[in-house]
Amino acid sequence: MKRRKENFTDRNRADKHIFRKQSLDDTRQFEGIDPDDYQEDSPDEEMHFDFDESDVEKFRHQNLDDGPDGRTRTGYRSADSRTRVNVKPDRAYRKQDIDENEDTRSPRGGGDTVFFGIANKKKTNSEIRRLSYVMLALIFGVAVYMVYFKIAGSRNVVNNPNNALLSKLEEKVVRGSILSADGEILAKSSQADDGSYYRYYPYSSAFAHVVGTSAVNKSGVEQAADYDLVTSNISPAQKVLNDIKGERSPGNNVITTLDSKLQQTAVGQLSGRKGAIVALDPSTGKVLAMASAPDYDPNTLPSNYKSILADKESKVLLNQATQGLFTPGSIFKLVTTTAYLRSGHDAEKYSYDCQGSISLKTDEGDIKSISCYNGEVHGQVGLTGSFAHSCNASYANIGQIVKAEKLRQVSEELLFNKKLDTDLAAEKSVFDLRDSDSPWTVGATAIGQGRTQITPLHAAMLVSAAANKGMLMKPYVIDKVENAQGGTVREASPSEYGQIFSKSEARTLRKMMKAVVSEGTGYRLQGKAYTAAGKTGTAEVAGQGNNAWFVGFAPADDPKIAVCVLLEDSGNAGSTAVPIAGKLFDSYLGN
Amino acid sequence: MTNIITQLSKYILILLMVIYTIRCCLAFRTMSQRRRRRAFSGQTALMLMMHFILNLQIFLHTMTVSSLIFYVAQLSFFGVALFLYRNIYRDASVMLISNMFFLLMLGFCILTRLDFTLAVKQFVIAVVSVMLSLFVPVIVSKVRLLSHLSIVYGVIGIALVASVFVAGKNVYGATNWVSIGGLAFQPSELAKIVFVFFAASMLYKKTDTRRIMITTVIAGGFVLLLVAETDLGAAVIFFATYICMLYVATHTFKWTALGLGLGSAAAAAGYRLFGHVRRRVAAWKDPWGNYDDAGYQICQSLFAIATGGWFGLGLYEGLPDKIPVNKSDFIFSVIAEELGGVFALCLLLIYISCFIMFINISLQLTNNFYKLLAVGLSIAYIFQIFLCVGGVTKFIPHTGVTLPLISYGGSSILSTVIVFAVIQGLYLLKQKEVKLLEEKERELYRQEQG
Repeated sequence: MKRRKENFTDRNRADKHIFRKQSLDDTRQFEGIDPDDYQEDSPDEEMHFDFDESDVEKFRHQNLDDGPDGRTRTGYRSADSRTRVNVKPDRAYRKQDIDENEDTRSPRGGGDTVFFGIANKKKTNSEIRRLSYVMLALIFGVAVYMVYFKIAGSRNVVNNPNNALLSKLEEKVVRGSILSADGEILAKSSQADDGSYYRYYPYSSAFAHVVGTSAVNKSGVEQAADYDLVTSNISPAQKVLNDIKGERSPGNNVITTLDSKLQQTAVGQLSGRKGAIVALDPSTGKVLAMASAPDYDPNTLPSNYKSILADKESKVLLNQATQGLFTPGSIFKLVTTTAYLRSGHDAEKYSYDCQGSISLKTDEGDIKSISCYNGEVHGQVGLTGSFAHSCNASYANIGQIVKAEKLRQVSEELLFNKKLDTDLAAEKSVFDLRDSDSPWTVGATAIGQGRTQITPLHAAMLVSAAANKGMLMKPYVIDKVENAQGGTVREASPSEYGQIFSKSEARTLRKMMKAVVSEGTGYRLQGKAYTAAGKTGTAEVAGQGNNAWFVGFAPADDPKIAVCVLLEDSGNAGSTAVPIAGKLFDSYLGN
Repeated sequence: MTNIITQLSKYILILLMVIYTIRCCLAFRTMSQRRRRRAFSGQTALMLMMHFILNLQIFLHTMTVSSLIFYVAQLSFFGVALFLYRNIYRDASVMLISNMFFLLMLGFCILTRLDFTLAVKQFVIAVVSVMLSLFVPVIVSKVRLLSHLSIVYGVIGIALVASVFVAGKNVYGATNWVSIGGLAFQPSELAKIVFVFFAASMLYKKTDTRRIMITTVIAGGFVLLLVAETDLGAAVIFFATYICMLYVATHTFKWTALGLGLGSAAAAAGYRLFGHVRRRVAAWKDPWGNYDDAGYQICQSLFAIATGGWFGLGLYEGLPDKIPVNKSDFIFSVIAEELGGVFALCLLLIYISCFIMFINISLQLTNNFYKLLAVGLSIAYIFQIFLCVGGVTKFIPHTGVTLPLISYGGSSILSTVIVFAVIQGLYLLKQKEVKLLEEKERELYRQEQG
């Protein structure tokens, strides 16, 4: 402060004048105001560049207008503040006119060349400015991109399984809990006696695959929500405080869409068997239950991991619901029916006389037959009847009508051979039928044998779409992310995957699926408090028992739940898979 | 206790950085000599505080005497160098000086965290460079001959760039390093400066077509040599700098347009011809898909930047060794990871403010040679930063250029320090002009007053 006062009082006026000029100078320097700007005002004045007295006199007494706001924009003020230097581009100093032998452009000592070259300075300066704006735009582009990346894109980047830094995050934060939709804790961090944290799964193996594990073999929700679980979104002040105190902040909690009671029912039904169960809410896409057998106890996985891996036969770590590929069998008739409808055929007009089997030409050239289950003769059947009784002969026949190409096209429209867009990683279902394949192969494929393979999740998605008037909702497991204090960090909302069946196709399929229960292979679902609908499937698998499938939904006219039940190495679907579905419906709808 | 200090200091560091950056940006408003001096002292104080905090964290973590000794050595260096600069060049731009030393300081600290031996090497090179560069401003502002030496520049430049063919060794797939007595030396960095001198000296007087042709051919020679050495980052910088200088010198778009056209054609040809150009572009478009191949570097860099969040994981708390080339090109990611996104953005702003200062100096200069020189050096400087930070954040494909003054690299430090010194020299020139005018005015005023 004292020194600044010095400027204005202790020095003489000359210095004050110099100071003001200098500050103007600085203004110009730092604000980039072009000293050339003052050229515009008095075009007739000229500037000499030998600074003798007469010249200085001259420039000090030129009258000039100030800028429009009364402030002198640029230029040197003389002591009486009335005049201003003006500089005009002297013709002699234009670039073209300079004698190239005389390098009059290099600055020499003394004040004689200050304004040399000013002729081009204005133009050059504007170019320099333009360039600098371009460069600045580029750099600011990078800065903005970085900010945007941090805000929008970084979550997915951080959650990448290859990111070794995730474990670093976990050092500062206590991993959050995973809860079911009905508030049950499915996974939490517990403190051991020595103060370290370990992961505890209160329901043991019941949620093993869908919730997954974090310490070893990161999978399931533990992997999908990894970033959220190791991030703490409590108030920043509290976080800083914890940081400073050396305490670990509590991570966010993840609330899933899973219904703990339904899940336990599902797991109970699978116990002692091999297979998978998926239950979805058709109108929202929420995953209500997902079970896979054989399973394991996630609490003991860290110690058992090596021995499980060593056992080549073991499938316990595989989430069969999403990663297992199985021959679909008769549930594929949903696809075949859709292909028939999409070929423009009238569902009402179809009729077939079933004699228990159909004979078709094979790849090798001879004739082989495709039989109905147990060789049963169904007689004259329409489309609904064929579906309800799962008549293989009829459907093999439909396969011949529809043909390979249409079957393939419709399968792909129904998400075969496509990566499914869901919370949990899933395998692609396989559909492989070529135009060159024989009629027998086409027939076999039409009834769900052949080279076709499907994941239980995909099967559940198909029936869920049919139940939801043809609109498939994207399956999701993570419903909400909350901070440790209960505030919502993020909430998922149902999103439409696509209208994979048209409304009328869906209506037809629903009608037929109701018939499966009322008069067909799904008869064990009769007599319930609700009306169920669905399709059975008993797929032959070489070298082992059948895949027993049931895909269905209930209540038939206002679907609240869509399920897929798969039992591997099993018997007849009607007697094995269907009752399980019944138990699932009872559990979910009964309460 | 240690933890409290570490955590507290983390936040204090970021706060200091933000203050430093804000004051840097505010420097563009009008300031008197006094105020500027005070601003300078303030910036220096901030810098020393940050230096202290960083070294405190380093010491608390490593508990070695050598880190203490290194700290003292750095302090003495800063003390002596700042003193020398301020007193030999009384009129020098203080903001430029303080920024340059600030960046060097950051470089020392981060490199100490990464690899102590390298940090010491960097320090030695920095000391030598700064001492050498003390001569540069006086040369630039006093030696009139500089604008006439176009041929000399051309020859030296080409010789430097071509030297790798004679004595080169291959590093990271680019043969642009020369080993002199055990020190790896990247001639293209120094050639950059010589190149700008060359172009400025050729183009400042006349820009008739013949002259442009000759200059362009030689410039093209530079670029092609660099391409042949597979130092594509440098080639792009040289090219962009030349185009910009040409634009400023000729005042017309036509050469720029021609240049850009040729450049795009060359880029397309390069894409077709060179396998590793294709790999870099593929890695840029989808680094996750290319994780095991060219995308690995970018993926790790993005992990680092993303996981670092806004406030960083803390010095020594991250895993910077997972990032390849983390001591040179990707050092920006290391900073983003450990010191946080806010810190990294402030760093970017400081670089930008230096650029703006360079440009303002070039705007003020009246002599065309010096003007072109300033423009060329500024463009080369900012473009390098753009390529580096852009490549590291996946804004553009990664090109293998270093971050000036912070990345490890002797030639990079030397050339950047020289660039700053040259700009200082030009600033001094301008100040001298103004002072002389002032003096005359004051003289006359006093006479007038009687």
